[in-house]
Amino acid sequence: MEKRMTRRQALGAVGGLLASAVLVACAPGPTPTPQVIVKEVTKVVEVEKEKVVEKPVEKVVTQVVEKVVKETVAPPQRTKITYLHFHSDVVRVGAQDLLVGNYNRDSLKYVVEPVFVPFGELTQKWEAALASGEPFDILLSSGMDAGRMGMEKKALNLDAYWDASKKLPPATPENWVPYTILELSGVVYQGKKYGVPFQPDTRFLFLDVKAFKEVGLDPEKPPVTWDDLWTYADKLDKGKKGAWQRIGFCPVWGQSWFWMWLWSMGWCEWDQQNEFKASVMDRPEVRECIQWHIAWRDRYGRDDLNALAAGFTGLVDAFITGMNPILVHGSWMPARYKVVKPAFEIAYAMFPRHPGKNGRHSSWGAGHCMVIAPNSKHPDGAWDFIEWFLSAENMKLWCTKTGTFVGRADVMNDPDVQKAHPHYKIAFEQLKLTNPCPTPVPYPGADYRGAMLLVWDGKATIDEALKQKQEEANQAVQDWIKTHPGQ
Amino acid sequence: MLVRTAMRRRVPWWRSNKFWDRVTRTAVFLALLAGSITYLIPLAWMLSTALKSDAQVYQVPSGWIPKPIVWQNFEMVFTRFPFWLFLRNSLITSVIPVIGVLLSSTVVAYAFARLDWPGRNLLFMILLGTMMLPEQVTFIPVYILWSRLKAINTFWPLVVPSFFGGAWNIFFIRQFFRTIPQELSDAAIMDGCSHMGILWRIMVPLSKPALATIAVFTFMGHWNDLWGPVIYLNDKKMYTLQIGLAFFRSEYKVDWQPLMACSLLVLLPSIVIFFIGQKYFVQGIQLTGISGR
Amino acid sequence: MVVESDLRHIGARRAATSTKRFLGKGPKFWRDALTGWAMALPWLIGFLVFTAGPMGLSFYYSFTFFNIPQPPRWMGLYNYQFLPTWVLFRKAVYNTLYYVALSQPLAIVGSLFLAVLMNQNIPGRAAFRTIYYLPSVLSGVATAMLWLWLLNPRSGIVNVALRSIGLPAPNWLFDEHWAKPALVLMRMWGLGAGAVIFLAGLQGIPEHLHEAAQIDGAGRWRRFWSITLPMLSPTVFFQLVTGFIGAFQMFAPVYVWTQVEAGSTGTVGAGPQNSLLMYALLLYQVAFGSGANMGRASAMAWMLFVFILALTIIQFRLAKFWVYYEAGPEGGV
Repeated sequence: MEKRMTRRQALGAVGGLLASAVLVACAPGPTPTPQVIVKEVTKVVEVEKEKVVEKPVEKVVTQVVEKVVKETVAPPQRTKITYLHFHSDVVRVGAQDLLVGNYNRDSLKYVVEPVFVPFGELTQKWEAALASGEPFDILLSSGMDAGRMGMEKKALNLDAYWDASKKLPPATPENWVPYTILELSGVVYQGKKYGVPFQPDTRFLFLDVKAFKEVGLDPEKPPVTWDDLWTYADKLDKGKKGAWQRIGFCPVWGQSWFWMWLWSMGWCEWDQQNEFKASVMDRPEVRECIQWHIAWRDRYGRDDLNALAAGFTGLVDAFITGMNPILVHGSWMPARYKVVKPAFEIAYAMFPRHPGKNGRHSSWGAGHCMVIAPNSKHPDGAWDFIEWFLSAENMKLWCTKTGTFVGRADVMNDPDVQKAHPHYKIAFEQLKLTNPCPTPVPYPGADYRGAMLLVWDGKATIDEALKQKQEEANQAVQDWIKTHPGQ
Repeated sequence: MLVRTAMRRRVPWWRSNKFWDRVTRTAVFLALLAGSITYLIPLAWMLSTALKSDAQVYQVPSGWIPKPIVWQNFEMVFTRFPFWLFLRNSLITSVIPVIGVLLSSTVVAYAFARLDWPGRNLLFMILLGTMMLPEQVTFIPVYILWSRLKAINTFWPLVVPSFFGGAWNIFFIRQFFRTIPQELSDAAIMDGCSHMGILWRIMVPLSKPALATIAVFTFMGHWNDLWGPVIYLNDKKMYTLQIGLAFFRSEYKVDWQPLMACSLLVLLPSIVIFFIGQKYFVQGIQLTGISGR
Repeated sequence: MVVESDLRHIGARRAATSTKRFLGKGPKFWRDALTGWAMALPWLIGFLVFTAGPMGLSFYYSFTFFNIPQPPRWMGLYNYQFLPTWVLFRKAVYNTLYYVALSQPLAIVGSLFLAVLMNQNIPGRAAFRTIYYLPSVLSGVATAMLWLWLLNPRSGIVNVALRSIGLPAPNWLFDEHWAKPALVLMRMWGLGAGAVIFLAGLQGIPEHLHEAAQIDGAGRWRRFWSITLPMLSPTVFFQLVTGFIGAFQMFAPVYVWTQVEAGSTGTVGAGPQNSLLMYALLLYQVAFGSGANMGRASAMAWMLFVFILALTIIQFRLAKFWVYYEAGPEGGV
């Protein structure tokens, strides 16, 4: 009896194992590559022949029937190209599927299979596949810095393809959004190209038209300099410390980042001779910028600002609820704001410049580019798709459907595209002045924003903050040099 | 009758055990009730959000009652991705590991709990050690291994490791096995039972609560696993429900209402499994015939 | 009835615990040893195939600079020397220790308390058990996003409730002093899972023990301290060991929060002044963020490993004093 029970249990276990194995093996396998089908055609050709005779003889008409049978040669298997992306938004996925479908329908040699991965796991999946030797062919990179990827050998050098391409314009700042062609922060590294710009983005001023009109300001005359912001905020503020109902402007809200303000002073981190040193942080411009931020903080009170900022979810922020009429935000936001509050009127303006003589309306941008794996098995196919995908017509379609921007200057300057969305005009102007600073060095930059935040949160004075962050920056550069000998 | 009344201690009703027992039980019930309501509030809020319209969700504050009730948010879940297909995939990758874990962990736990063999303690420490290294630094070699086995884009990497026992499961069952008196095993050994026999005929039936716990936790762990399917699956036809949930989150925005709706739907099978497993959690153990303890 | 043959049998087993003396062992010892190894084989094979290699590799990587897919570059002890000097590393260590010290005791005591309550003879037990377990059934991602809303300082129900009873309502995830307590609060919502484990342990306590004690006149509290807790100590021990192992590697919520928009300042990020920068999150950023260095991430992982291992060994040593096994003391048979 003992043996029977254990045998039954053993059988049960084996049965369970078999069932599991069968289930797993019967799991849907990879989608088969769709093939191009060529049909056999029979063509009949009729030929009439006339014979002319001297004496009146009957005409002979002969019919020659030619049968033409097209030789069907089995078409070569189409090569599958895998394209790793993170688009999950309905609109973008729709546009992408449409374009990919068109490509798969028309292409004779290649078929593209998009593979979705949630944004956060993109790098892990890409790098794991790279390391295993079975990489994904194309990556929609989450940043525009394909140059840096090229430096780290995570992307293929595209010079051979791009220089010979007839579909893509040459990689110069005139043909593309300028900052996408920069060294390291763009798709270039040591003069070589490692990615093709696809979707750049930028940040600029959003203005609450209703609030402006309410206090007698003209939305057509936006704040141009830092000082304008202050004076406009004087008019737009409502309430007092402890009970603010409207905050004119706050330089740490939205997509306003500290380095953008530094750049708008005409300043660049690396406009000095470095020779493997961190940039010098303690400079008058940096101090002035930090002090300017602190002035805004003290204008409203830190606790007030924190409480107000924290009270909004990502869905609804102070701007769209009318509590913050001037906000720096990203170029993707207008579409979003439209969904949240369709009736809310927004005016757009360039990022404000410093009142000094070097001031410029520059801004910061990132975005997405398309990259090929350095050990891809089908780089030709990958390039074929990228080239086709980033053609002018396809990019125009993308632009108008999704409301985002693309990297090609010819598409951006197309009047139809410009009219498609109300914020495009300012966005295009801003894109031209985005990321004004080249990055000549591969090692990490200093944490200017961290220094400002230390002072903002009252954890250090400006001197202490700059000193502390300088030490960290020096340490980071030394670390980089140690881990990258010979670079 | 005289004897009985003499033996019963006469105490006032407010000091009798029965009274205090009742009071304690009522207090416990009320405390649990209050806690339940608190625990359920976030879930109620999820349901409320799932049924709200865009306009209402964007209001601050947006209130509790959805006005109007937007059932389409639930519909959206089924149109955004092939829900039933993903459900099937989730089931495959969640149920099979349960079988694997139950089969393998019990055997290994027995070895650690009831047998003495050279190297046991060292191996047990190594077993625990495998839980102490974060996965991010070991997953690339594992990925490469599966890649060499041509198992990327299949369910194998998600399912096979369970058949080798998980450290957590083995540790848990081992603890449970150690609470079972040695005399039972000894008696069986004297009857000529093999160790596997002891395992299946004595230990396993007595450990139903522990095994049920392991089963439920394993199911849930795989059901809620996003990372494994994301890394190892490429074909949309094989995606699980957790990846489906990720469709509602994009780089720039989150579709909160369908996300909450989908989360609630994805929750349901786990609750069902838990309900089924509950029966075993509460199974008491009848240990008769043990004297002298 | 105990027979002399039993005594010999037990004695032979006791002698077998000393692994130094292999000579002169009877066939029984070798048979047991073989069975032990054979039954541990499923785990052992899995370990050797899936775990040992990758663990060894990551140990090797920890001495290198490794930016995938370039080959690792040998750096010796540099990573281990660099990390303690790095501000972010120290911050992550502090944050993690703070979180574990605050959440672990509360979690164990709380879930134990909950389990004992749910084990009482009250109506609706099954319903209660399900309700309390429900939060743990939600995936980590869903829970993190849900709590982002619940902890909203203005409209989230946590603060609304606090304000309604007159308590101060902090800015939770947007205040560097309240960000980690917010994490702990979220952890408390997941007590049900621990309670279920304790419930399983509680089922293992034979009823007759309680009955015998009641006959002897022991009250509730006495019975809890002298019967329930000791009989439950293996489970408590398990929860302690695995709880610490898990808590030090806490990752999912803070990771999700770095990706989801919240507040008016973008994402929660790693918290104000990096107050939510947990060790595992920093490890992930070092492994896959900009300037990725899997070598340094591996060094971080192994430092964590050594720390947790030491802590676990200490717990096992201390277990001798308070953990009671029916089957004999820890470390013996």
